[in-house]
Amino acid sequence: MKLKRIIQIIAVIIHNSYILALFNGGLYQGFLKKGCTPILNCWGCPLAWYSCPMGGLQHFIGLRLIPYYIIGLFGTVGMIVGRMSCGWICPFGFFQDLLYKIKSVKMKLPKWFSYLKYVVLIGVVVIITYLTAEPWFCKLCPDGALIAGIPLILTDKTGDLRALVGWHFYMKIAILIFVILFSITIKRFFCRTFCPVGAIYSIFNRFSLLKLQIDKEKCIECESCRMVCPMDVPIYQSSNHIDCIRCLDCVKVCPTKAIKYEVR
Amino acid sequence: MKKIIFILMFAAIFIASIIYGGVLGDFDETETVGSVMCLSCMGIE
Repeated sequence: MKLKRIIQIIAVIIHNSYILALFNGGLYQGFLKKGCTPILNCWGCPLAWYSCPMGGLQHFIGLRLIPYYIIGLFGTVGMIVGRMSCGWICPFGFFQDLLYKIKSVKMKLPKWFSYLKYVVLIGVVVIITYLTAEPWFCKLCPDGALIAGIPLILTDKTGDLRALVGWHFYMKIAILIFVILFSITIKRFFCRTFCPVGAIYSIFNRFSLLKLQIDKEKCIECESCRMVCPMDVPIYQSSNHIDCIRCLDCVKVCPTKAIKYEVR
Repeated sequence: MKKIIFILMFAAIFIASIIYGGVLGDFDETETVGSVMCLSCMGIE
């Protein structure tokens, strides 16, 4: 098994392993929830140890407060590794990697779709949340439906939560099914088109301490890197591409060793 | 070398932002939301 896969599995366990929730019901409510993980991982998941930075960001925006802590977290991680955390430790990204392994018709995503995530970030996470004081991205988030909504409804012993299920829950499930179906046919569909965490980190790819370097003289433009890339990035065209998640698969597969990662 | 200084300078500003947020009570504020059953996350009103 590849090192990346092992780290992805370990990351899933580190983020979501509060096993007591399975016996006691509810969710983890301890000290660790003060901390946000650097990736999208719903804090409503019964097994989650940490808070979600996107939920936290919207909470502060909704309260009309400057989210110093969340901005600092995104900025620190982004300046050091760029979008690498998406590629190595995001459980929802890992889930999409696995979905794409299902044999089916595979499709390419038009280039402009990559910019939709900025519309989600600015429009939904910042503007709509500020105006309505409601975390609208959380209300629509498919990760929340997958790891919080469905498990909590299924394990609801009293039936109180199940009684509250309505159109909003079904809408989230519909969004989740939509994302799952497209993730089977398109590489990391959600990460590339809608993820606001990815949108934030993508800005740092250009400046991060860790970066990819392309040797143009060695590159034969064979597209081996693009074929193996989980984000379908033509990295030989732009080493700081907004969708590069620094998974380093391209480094290993390049036949002429034209791609290298380095610390600036 | 200039780039590394630029990166380290910004990283230091962001780390300071985390610390300043902590002083203002951002960690506690995050915990208060993260520790309750989030109905928005679940899709329940």
